[in-house]
Amino acid sequence: MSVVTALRETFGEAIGLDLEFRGQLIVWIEQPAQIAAVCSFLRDDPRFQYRYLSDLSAIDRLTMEQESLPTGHDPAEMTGARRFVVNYQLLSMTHKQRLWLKVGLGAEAPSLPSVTPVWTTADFLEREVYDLMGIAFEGHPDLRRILLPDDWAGHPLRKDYPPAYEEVQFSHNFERIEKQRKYARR
Amino acid sequence: MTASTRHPADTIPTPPGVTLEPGPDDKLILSMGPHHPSTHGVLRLILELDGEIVVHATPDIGFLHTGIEKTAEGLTYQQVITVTDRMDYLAPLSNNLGYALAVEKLLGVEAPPRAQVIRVILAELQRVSSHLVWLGTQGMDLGAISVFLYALREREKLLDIFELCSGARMMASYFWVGGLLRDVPPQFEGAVRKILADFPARFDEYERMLTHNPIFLERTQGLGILSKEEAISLGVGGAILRGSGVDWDLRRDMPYSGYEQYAFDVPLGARGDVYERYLLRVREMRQSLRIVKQALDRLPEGPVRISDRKIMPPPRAELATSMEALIHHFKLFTEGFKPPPGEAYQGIESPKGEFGVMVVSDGTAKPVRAHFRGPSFVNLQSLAQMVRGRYIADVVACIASIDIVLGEVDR
Repeated sequence: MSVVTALRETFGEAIGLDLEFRGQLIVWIEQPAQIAAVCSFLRDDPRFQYRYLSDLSAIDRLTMEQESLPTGHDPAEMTGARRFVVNYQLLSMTHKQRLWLKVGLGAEAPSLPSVTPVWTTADFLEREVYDLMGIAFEGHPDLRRILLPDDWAGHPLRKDYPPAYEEVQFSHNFERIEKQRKYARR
Repeated sequence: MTASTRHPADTIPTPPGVTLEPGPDDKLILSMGPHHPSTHGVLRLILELDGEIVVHATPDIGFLHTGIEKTAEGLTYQQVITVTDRMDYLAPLSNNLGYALAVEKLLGVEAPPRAQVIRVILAELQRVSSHLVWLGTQGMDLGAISVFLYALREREKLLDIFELCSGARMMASYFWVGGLLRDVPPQFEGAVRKILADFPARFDEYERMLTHNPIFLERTQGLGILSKEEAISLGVGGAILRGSGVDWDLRRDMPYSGYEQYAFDVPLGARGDVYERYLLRVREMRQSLRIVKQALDRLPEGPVRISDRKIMPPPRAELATSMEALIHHFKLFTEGFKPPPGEAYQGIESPKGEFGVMVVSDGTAKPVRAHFRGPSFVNLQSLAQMVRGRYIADVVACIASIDIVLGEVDR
């Protein structure tokens, strides 16, 4: 049984689209509240044994010009209901397979359950996402900034947090610069 | 360590300046680093001590944070290679390789055979050079300074090879998306053969200094133990993972860059202590040379760059005669290439563990997001587990055995 079928059987509605891109199996989790349960199922089920969490990261899609994957989601959601995407890279050493879980989060106060009870390694990784992207992980034992000073304002990897320089204009990037101008520091 | 047993010392705020204040239960809170020669850079540890015994250690990192991921969003795909060098600055070519492979996956292209073999040779030499710095510092932290001098003498020879290829000794930026910066010079093969001939004897020399050295054994055996389950849950990689008995190496188990064509062993340990990690890394260096030898013997002729001019610039000579080449060159260096919308994650076995790169493209010439999973960053988490209940002096040996590079921890 494929992992997607098993997930659908166990979690039903919570499992969204699955797609394969460049040999990578990507599964969307539609209900962020279920993520810890999904991860713990994938870790413990003897058929899959995704016991190793390789990576945990987040994407801000505020200024993206088009969706990066053919997901069938409404691209307009990229500034609202699906602005942030949290990625989980699971690795099964037994089957030598990776699984990429994706969770979409809204622009307002994004948060989802922590997977630290499932993998200890999520501790630093979630703190990094919290620090740089401003996504809260409920149930994380020690959610505070990790790379930036404690009194830092804002979350630098968000797209509305401008870099400290202005991009040089060429004919090909007028539009993008114009688009990002509203976020520039005054 | 489970989530619920986290010690209250973790919540201690970290104000600027000295924090030598009494902790809970009259424990001494000692701020070790960031300026400490044995923290391998700017790592700061907040140690809670009961006498000389470490009750709890909390790493405080970020002193070297340079915003590499944010910077990458403002650079074209090819330009990002130069910032990847600066993460794990002891293994820049491994970083180049991980990033180049991730973008190649996104583009759906593969580097030409000659480029792949040269990548393997240099990545393995890079592994040896990274391990040599680890070996030297591990020895030095325990008082064996001569090992450091010997190891860096050998590393010098490897840096000469990187300089020969790329012009730079450390920040090589030699692996490009779609191949290499340029082909290796004619002296390359001879220089690498000399390394292959010289190094095994040098490794024997280090082993004579350390493997049966009573002081070294005393300081490393039974120290910093991680069980198999802890190692997997902590997500550690490289020699730490294998030292704890997890038989996992991405080069063998999920091959990339043609690693499946080479015969090599993955050294596996069981005890999971500092000494085991030492043994494994030394054996890994010998295996790396084995791979280099096989790769050098089969080094094919041919181009080192893919012929797609929308991704790789044309050879310099063509610019003088071909208008089209000139246009391609200009477009690539002003605008860059545009991968199709998509996302790719590529993990490689860097000297320290799994170095992962996630690139996200929305069809423009710059990545929307480039995320780097630094093995040092993840491995550092295991420190608290390793040093609990040990002496302060053991903390130094544990840090060295994790082999952290702060450039990669903080990115």
